[in-house]
Amino acid sequence: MSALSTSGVLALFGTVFLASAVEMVEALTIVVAVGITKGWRSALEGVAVALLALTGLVVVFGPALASVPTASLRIVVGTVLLIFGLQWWRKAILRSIGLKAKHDEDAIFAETVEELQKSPAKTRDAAAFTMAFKGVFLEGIEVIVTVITLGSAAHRLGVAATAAVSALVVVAAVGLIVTRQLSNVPENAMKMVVGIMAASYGTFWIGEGIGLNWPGKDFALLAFALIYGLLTWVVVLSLTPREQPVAVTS
Amino acid sequence: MKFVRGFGKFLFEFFIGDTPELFVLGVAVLAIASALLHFLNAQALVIVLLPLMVFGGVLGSVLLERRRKSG
Repeated sequence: MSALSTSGVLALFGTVFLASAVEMVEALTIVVAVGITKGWRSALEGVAVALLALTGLVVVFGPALASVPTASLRIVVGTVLLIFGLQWWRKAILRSIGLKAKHDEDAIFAETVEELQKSPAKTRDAAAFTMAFKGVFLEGIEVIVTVITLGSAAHRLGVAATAAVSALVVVAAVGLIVTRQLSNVPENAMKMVVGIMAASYGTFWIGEGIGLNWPGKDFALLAFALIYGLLTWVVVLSLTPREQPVAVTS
Repeated sequence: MKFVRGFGKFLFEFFIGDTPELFVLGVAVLAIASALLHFLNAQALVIVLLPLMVFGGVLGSVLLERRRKSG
């Protein structure tokens, strides 16, 4: 079981970065909606407590993974990533072919604002705190699962953590600039890439975990991503409904 | 207790949600690949079959949803 090559490390970084960025955009949408509607104090307190709780989870569960044998870890992580990747991949295909509505950050923003407007404004608002906390905590758990599973199975926890922190910095910076235009983020394309990459990692690590020798070693991972991507493109092209040509009468 | 129930609900949504077929597929891929490798030592077959099962599964799930929506 080899350590990842440079291309493998880049693929790992890119996958964790994109997966984390997608979750962070969702969390940021909720926090901005809470901040604008109910004031930033409760929103930022909710964010701070959620970040503390997430740090606690990492401190408690992170080191425990180091003692798990690599083969077992890769089987478990591979299966988790495969299931997680398949879900994102399927949803992204369904959105691309028009069978599912695109994930709309504007709608999430409007929904959050509407829910918060039901409670009266206060300096310290429990509803605002809870909503910001839940948004950051739940999306944060998904980021942690991504970082820990991908990073530990590849023995590159540092690379995975750096990718997540980079995503946090980029999303926070973009959030400060665009605040309410988060719907401009090409979320479906990002989810498609993450879904395909997670399914590729899942395929690769399940194989490695059960003792399979992939031809080309790490390059098999990139080959899966390319093949899955190509097949997805064919599926999207063939399943997208074509517009009926309009008959022109002269 | 409320936290445990909430966390359980989160895990259920995370792994199963509205696509139980994908959860079953993930576990089935692991079980079939392991069985083929350990009982038949079929390395080459598993190398081809594993990614095929993965892509076939996602395609099947997409087609299933398409049929649900159109019918």
